[in-house]
Amino acid sequence: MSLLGQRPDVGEFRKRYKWMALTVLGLMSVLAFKLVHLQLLKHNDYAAIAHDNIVHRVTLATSRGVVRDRSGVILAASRESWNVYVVPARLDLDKTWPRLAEVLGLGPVERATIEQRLRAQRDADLTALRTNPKHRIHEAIVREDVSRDIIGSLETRKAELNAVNWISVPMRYYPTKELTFHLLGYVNEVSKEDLDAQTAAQQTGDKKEWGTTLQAGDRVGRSGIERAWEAYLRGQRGWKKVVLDARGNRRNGKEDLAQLDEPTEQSPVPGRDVRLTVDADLIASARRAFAGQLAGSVVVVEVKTGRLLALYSKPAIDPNDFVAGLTTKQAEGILSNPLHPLIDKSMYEAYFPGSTMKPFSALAALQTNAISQTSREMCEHIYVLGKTRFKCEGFHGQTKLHEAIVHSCNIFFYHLGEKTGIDAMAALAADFGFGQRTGVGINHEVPGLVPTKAWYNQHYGGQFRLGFTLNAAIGQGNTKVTVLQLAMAYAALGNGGNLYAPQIVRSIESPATTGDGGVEIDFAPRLRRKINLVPENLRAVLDGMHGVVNEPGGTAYKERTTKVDVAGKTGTAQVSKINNKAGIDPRSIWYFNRDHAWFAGVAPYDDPEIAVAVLVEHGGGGGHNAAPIAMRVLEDWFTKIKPAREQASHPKPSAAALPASKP
Amino acid sequence: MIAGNVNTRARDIIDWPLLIAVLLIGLVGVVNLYSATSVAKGGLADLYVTQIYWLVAGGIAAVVVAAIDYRHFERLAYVIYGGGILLLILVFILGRDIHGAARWIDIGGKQRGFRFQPSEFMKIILAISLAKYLHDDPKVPVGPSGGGRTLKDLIVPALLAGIPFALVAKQPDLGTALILAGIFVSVMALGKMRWQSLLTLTVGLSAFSWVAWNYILHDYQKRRIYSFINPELDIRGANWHSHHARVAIGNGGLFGSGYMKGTQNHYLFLPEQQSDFPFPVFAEDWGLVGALVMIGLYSFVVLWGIRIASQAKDRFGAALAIGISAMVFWHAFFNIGMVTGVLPVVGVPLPLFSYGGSSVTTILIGVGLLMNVSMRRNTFA
Repeated sequence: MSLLGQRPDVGEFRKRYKWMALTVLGLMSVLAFKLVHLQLLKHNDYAAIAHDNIVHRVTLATSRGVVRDRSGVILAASRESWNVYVVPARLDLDKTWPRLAEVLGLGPVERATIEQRLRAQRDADLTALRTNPKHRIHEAIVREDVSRDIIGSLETRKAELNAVNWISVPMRYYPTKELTFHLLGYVNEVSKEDLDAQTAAQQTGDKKEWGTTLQAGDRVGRSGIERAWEAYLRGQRGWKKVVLDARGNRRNGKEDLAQLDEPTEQSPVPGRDVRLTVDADLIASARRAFAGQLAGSVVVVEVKTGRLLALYSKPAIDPNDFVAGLTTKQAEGILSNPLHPLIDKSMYEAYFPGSTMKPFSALAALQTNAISQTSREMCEHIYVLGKTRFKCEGFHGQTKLHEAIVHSCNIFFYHLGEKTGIDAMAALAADFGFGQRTGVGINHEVPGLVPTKAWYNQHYGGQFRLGFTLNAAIGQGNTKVTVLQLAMAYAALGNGGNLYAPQIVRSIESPATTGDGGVEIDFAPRLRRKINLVPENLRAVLDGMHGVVNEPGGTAYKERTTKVDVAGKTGTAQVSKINNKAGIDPRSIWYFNRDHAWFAGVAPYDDPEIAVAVLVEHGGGGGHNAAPIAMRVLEDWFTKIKPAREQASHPKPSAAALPASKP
Repeated sequence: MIAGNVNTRARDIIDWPLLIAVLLIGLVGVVNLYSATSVAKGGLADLYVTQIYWLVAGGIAAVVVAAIDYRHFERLAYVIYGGGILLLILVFILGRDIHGAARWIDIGGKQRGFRFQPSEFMKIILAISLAKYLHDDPKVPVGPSGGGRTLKDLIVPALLAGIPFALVAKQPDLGTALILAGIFVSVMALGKMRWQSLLTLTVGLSAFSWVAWNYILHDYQKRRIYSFINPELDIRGANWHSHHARVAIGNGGLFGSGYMKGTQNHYLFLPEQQSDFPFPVFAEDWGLVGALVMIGLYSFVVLWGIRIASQAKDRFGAALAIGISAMVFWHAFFNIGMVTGVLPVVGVPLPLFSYGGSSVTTILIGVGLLMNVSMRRNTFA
């Protein structure tokens, strides 16, 4: 190991230095090129990723529009509701969970079920965290729509409830409950099928179905007004850009907000409010009048505008149950109910109109000059046609049109039908809107049927018979109408032959959250057609209808009211007899074999303002069962509700302001 | 005797280019560390101050190391080596667990004392030992066909490197083990090898890689290699770090977002921004221009180290200078290669840029040794 003589040995290394230097330069150049690639060539891509890393969009919720009746009574609105969540991965199942379960008042079964679910999610999260520290743990919902009291208790015990959160979500509610079930419909949570359908629609470019984009958790209208006016009621969700760091924390500093690119926010558009034409008090009146009956429907319409004042169908369900989500038991109860509470009996079911059809048969006969007001027919209780014996309820003897209507004489109308012909009667019925959908715009509506000769030839193998005409004349056979159609047709009788489309929505208004909401769209009455009628003919028929209620022996005379001058017609429609039917208790077969009871009319007789149609399913005779309901509703309207409304819209003026009103 | 050999005035013998380049890197490193840790609340935010302390301490160590004639290190090489190995073994007994690897030794208790990483110092000790071996084994090529070292001649140096390599890899600290391997290859590349031996070695290494993959590497290490092969495969998992490092670098663009304005660091998308990922912070703040300047600075130091080796007085000095240069080079290459996605994710600190007492001191002691060799190139003959 001498210090001398080492120097030459260094020569062994000499040739290597150059190669080493070149290697260093080469490898460092690789890094330099890679940097050029990242920072120059791919800069835009990475800048975009970097931006997306920190700038996120959060949804700004919108509020669903309020539905009011004509005088401002709220029929559908949103209320605050609270959902309780936990973070299972951070939840102490031994200490915190029992406390939470106690505050929420969970029963032992429910508690065990939820605990099992939380435990499973916690284990899954913790396992995932072990292999991937960046795994995002999720919240799990424990209970929806928790009362404000419970939230209060949670607030006070916040310190001992680690990993428990509660958030406020708007919840639809219907203060009038089952009263307006068919009319308003209900909302519930959007389903996976809806979202899939939306995705498909977006791909085909068809956006008209829902208007704005739906997200999981949204609630949409399922029937009634809520469904038909969804596009107005829902409103449009907004968004706002926020800065989130890698840990998911919001950053709100001035510099943070500078990271946001324009536009930074899109304000939510609140849903429009919808004002209906109906009067909640009048519907409530219909419900009271229906108290003694199981099923049926009431429709009240303004004669001169076609605006609906009441739409009522019984039985109904509290729509609030649907919003929360039906329990299996509730759903089974609804589906197995033989009275079909889901069906809107005012428009989704067509019935034999029975004698309520007679005014139209009479009009058809008068219009075609098949009979005159003074022609007589002999009623001997039985009308024999071939082997069939057509019967009348009474024995009316020599009868003119007026008496035939008052007493509802079938024999007269058989002769009338024979003379008029089925097609002439059908043509006039069609003029009054029978056999066609009314265009009310909510729920499913059936068109009913007004049979013609051609229809019978088509459906009965070319075997049209006179018997069909006779049945058609008294609203039996194959003639079917909805309660709504009948109400609209009677309104046309009452206004000189103007057939209106039923109007249910009066106006669209801007949300009234700040001050008074303004009217955005006001819908005018919609006249479908002016029916060409000879005024004397119409007068004769109305006269007869007036007699039904006001002349002794009239089919509704016993049920008349002294407070309103009503003209109307009863109906007792035979039903298809059943002996045995699945799902119906044999002990209640008698009920389902009973006739439907009808009453339809207009009031006041001199200058009709409103028309009413009442159907009591399996109610029996129309005079005894349906007429009282109609009378009660009309009485309430003219003696209580209408005066109250007029008082409200024209507040009692001071004496000085209106000197002319002084006696 | 210590001062005796330095017979010229300090100003003339000090290697100014090396000193200035190293000071620049250290200075930029502190400035960048301030940006990198400014986002963190609590303890991390003061790291740059601590880093300054370490730079000063390392600087003093470097001066001391530079002042001692390197031939003393040559003489004591194997003693130092023995001490280093002993410390590595101690890690297993006293080691403290950080991120699932025992690498540290606590001195004076966990709270008030400090801890250090013997494996860091082992890098320098290996460079000294290998230099010593080459120094004592002046094998000159024989014959016209070239001649040179055979595999048998490699056994001793391979053992010198292999023992600490195994101990470090066992901790497990793949990064440091790779640096040790890099130093070994770089220093041994100085000597001439028989080409047949090189061929055998290549085949042998390939076989070893196969064995290593199947029996030695940990799962997390394998995952990193997988994710390197297909970087976008698992952004949220093993590749999350390097993905965000690339995003930050790419986001910097040509001139950068501006000092302390890089968003990816600011919003915490760069984990370990003080230890493994200070370069993306810098590249996002200062852009391609800044990044290339840093590459240039590291390249300069390494090339200057090779120049020092080429001018060294003896084989020990030359080999030592190469060993130290290799240490600096492989650190810089692995770290920047990792964050840019050229290499898989391996935890290797960036010299004087990454926070860390052991790392900073090690690099500065290395620089002291380089300075030592440089200053004494003309002093004895």
